[in-house]
Amino acid sequence: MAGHSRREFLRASAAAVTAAAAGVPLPAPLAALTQDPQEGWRWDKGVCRFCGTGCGIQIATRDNKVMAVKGDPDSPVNRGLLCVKGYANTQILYGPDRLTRPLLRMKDGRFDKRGEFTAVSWERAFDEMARQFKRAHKALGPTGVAVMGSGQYTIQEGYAAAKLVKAGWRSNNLEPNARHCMASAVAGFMQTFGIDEPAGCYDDIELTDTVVSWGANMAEMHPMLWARVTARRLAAPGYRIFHLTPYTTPTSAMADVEIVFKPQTDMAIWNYLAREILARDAVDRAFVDAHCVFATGYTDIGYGLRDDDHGMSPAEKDTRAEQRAHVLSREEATAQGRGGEAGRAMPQDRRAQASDHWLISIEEFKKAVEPYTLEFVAELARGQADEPLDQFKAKLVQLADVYADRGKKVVSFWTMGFNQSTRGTWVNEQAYMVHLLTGKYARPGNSAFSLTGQPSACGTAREVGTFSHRLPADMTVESASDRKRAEEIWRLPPGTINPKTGSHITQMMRDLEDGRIKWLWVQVTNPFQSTANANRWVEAARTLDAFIVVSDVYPGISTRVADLVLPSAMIFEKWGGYGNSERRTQLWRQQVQAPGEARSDVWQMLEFSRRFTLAEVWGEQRVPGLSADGFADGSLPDVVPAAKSLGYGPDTTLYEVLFATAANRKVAWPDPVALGHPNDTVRHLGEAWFPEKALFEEYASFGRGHAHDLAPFDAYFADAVRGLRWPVVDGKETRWRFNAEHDPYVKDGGPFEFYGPAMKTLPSGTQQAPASGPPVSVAGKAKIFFRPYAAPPEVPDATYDLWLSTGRVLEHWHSGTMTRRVPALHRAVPTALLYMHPEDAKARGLGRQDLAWIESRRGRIRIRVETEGRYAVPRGLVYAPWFDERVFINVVTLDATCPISKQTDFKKCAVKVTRVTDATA
Amino acid sequence: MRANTGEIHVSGLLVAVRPGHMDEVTRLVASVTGAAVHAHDQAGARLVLTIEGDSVDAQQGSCALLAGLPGVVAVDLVCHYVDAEDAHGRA
Repeated sequence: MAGHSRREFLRASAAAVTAAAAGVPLPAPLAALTQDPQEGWRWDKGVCRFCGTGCGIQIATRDNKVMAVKGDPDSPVNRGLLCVKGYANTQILYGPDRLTRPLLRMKDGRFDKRGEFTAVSWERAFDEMARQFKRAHKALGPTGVAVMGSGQYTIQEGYAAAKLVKAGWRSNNLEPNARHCMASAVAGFMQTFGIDEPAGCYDDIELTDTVVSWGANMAEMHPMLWARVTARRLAAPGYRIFHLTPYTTPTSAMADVEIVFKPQTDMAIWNYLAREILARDAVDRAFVDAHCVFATGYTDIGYGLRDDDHGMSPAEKDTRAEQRAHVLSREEATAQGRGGEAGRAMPQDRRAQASDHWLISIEEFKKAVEPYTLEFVAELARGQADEPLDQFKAKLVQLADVYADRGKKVVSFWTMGFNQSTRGTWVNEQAYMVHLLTGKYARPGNSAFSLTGQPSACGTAREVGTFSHRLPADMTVESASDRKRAEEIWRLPPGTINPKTGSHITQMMRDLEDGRIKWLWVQVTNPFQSTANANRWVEAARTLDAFIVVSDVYPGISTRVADLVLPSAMIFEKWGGYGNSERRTQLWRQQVQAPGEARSDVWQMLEFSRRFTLAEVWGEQRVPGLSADGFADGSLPDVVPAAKSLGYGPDTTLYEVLFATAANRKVAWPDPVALGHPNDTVRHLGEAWFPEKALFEEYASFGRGHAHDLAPFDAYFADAVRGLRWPVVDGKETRWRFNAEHDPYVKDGGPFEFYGPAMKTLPSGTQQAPASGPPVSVAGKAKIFFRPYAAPPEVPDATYDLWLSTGRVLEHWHSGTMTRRVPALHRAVPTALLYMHPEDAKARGLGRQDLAWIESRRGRIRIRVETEGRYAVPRGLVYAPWFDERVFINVVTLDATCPISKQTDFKKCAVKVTRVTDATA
Repeated sequence: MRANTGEIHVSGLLVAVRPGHMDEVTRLVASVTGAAVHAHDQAGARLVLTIEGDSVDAQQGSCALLAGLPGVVAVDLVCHYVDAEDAHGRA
């Protein structure tokens, strides 16, 4: 390109690469330039840092700096394209206020909870952290310590955390922020199929005729999948898009039919669809008879609120009372087949049996959905009071037409709209109900697909199992056989793993408030901003004597709450791997070094584990409430003597027992797969083994042969591979599980087998209760659940007269700690706004950009009002995003959870909005 | 146009266009600072363009403008290059 300036060369290259990605023919002079400007740039493949889509990217580095990023043209996920956050993959590394030193609150040279943050060495930081751990652990045992992790953990980070907490510290207090994000999806999968994660994959977008987005604003939250949906909509005649939503979003713009429904009434719409499918004789009988059973469970299961009145303010009294008794509304009474009981206070006395369920006959199922007529559901669900009822009804009928049409393929997508609900598990199950009834599941182009919010909610939080009840590969701590298997793979003495499920993430906050947790390590998440009813937890963390450690990359609310802040390496500053929504595992190499003293989370956990001997953590331990076969009540046995036969002494460290094992030390660094890329985890450990590879392979041994098969570590780095969808058997990935044509785990001739093993022996009963007969096996089958419409525990009333729904915006990721450092993203959406219907605003004396108070029973904040812009909300509902720490909306939200999944409902609580005046400012 | 950052930022973007709006969008794109149209597909649904500036910030501002143009369905990023100006300070 002699004679051309550098700028012209870059411009021509960018145009050529873009045209090539899109398959657009090039003007001849450009065609020669489809190679990138190389000159010392080292290109490698990676995966986007942000949402659960899992877009493939290519990154170029030179002199330890990221020079370029592009959508990976060979990625089957995004096919060379990226959304606006794609830029941020490089920018987020270089924000001016990156955390680069450990910071400890100190006064007069000593740790002091009231002290100022002072830069200290890693040595000093870990000394204090270990001393505080041992204090809490001695006083309270393994339940007195906790780790909060993330769906943004790499696979290896999540696995290291699970092993350290569960095997090392014998605590099950490990929880990811994914509890707030995907737990209802997991519970829905487990209860319906006995195994986690979707049958289908993104290929279904092009193979289907109809996309139905249920409460998912895909245009902003999963833009690259939405790009595929819209591209198909523009190219394929007859392809249609339905968008069901509580307010109009950018996703509505491309929808053929938009259905605005009242919060939580999507549950009634699903049952209307089931009723129609039965009434129209649209059931796929061959599929249902051979592969499905009908089931239901208890209705009065509470709302995941505190059972006690600890710290309750007078304003909260009525909402808190719901946990014990709920007054049935007229609609609920009808919907639950309790017609005569409207207005009655129903004791929520099945709280402890929330996930119990039993088989029912198809006749019972038909009876249960019978009340969900078009008239009943339309009246209940219409979200815009001024929409003519007949028009709303007509749209529901069109939706039913699609699901009931045997000739039409349908993909249903959902994400937080379903999952963040006090009945989140139920509504996930309802989606499968309709897809199973019609046989539109586990077939190319027919899918009910749970989209994930975070880049490794699937790959790490769910598959590794960084939940308080989980072990890797869908196993649980409560199962004796699962514990035994984990103890064998981990080479632990029998009885090491604690059989009692730990606290879920919201419960951890409550435990902190109650003094039951006194040491907490937060990794790759910002829980003091992201947990509902946040005032309480921030106050507890700052005023009680708990020691809070936060590992992060930028300051935020959680680092300010912390006693010790540890600076972490992020994304391409470390080796890692993520697993996306469609079971695709993608690994990457370290590309650049982290700034200052920032270190990888894997290094932090491994290095910290050197400070614990077996004598300190494997002796007899007190665990309040523990009751399990083979264990003395309330206690874990001393396993130090038994450890001797495994070659460990009382002074052996957890680092040697859990991580630097003889097997792992054989996984040598340097490794040819690195192609010269660095590994700072190895460098800082001062070792010659490869932790990220060793941990990956050890973790993979849990799933291989158990329908969760991952490929060998090196396979993911092969030039031609852009991630692989598990189970990977004989080198082949699986696109449609449970389908004999595609899934090697279908053994019994097929054509389908729902082989997930969990919860497959059940009693039988009626809609109301199980009968006393013996349980039967439903191995190989999926369950079609009946779940009734149920109202949320807090609905608008005379005082708190508006629904509040919260969520994200395109430009920002979660709590904004990364994306608010990218100037353009910050400038595009500098602050969180309260979206309101103009008439609701006017009635309160408010207009655009006016400052308002938004107040719930739990707290209030100031926020600017927006009555135009990208969301059009119906009267009676307001929407606020949660990315902005200065507009701390989780002070207002309610910490009610789904009693089965323990996932918080961030989408529904009752608020009032008033003008900020001089007197109230 | 450029502040003295010494950096060149160039991005390749693919703009999805509502059917029948290609001419209008092509015309409007020309008014966006740093944007240049290079090609479009035969179906008239997608446009290849580059934007350039001295920072990602400037580029994303242009991106936001593009996304707001009438007839534009989506703006997707394909590549983003950062480099220093050449030895003569030319760009």
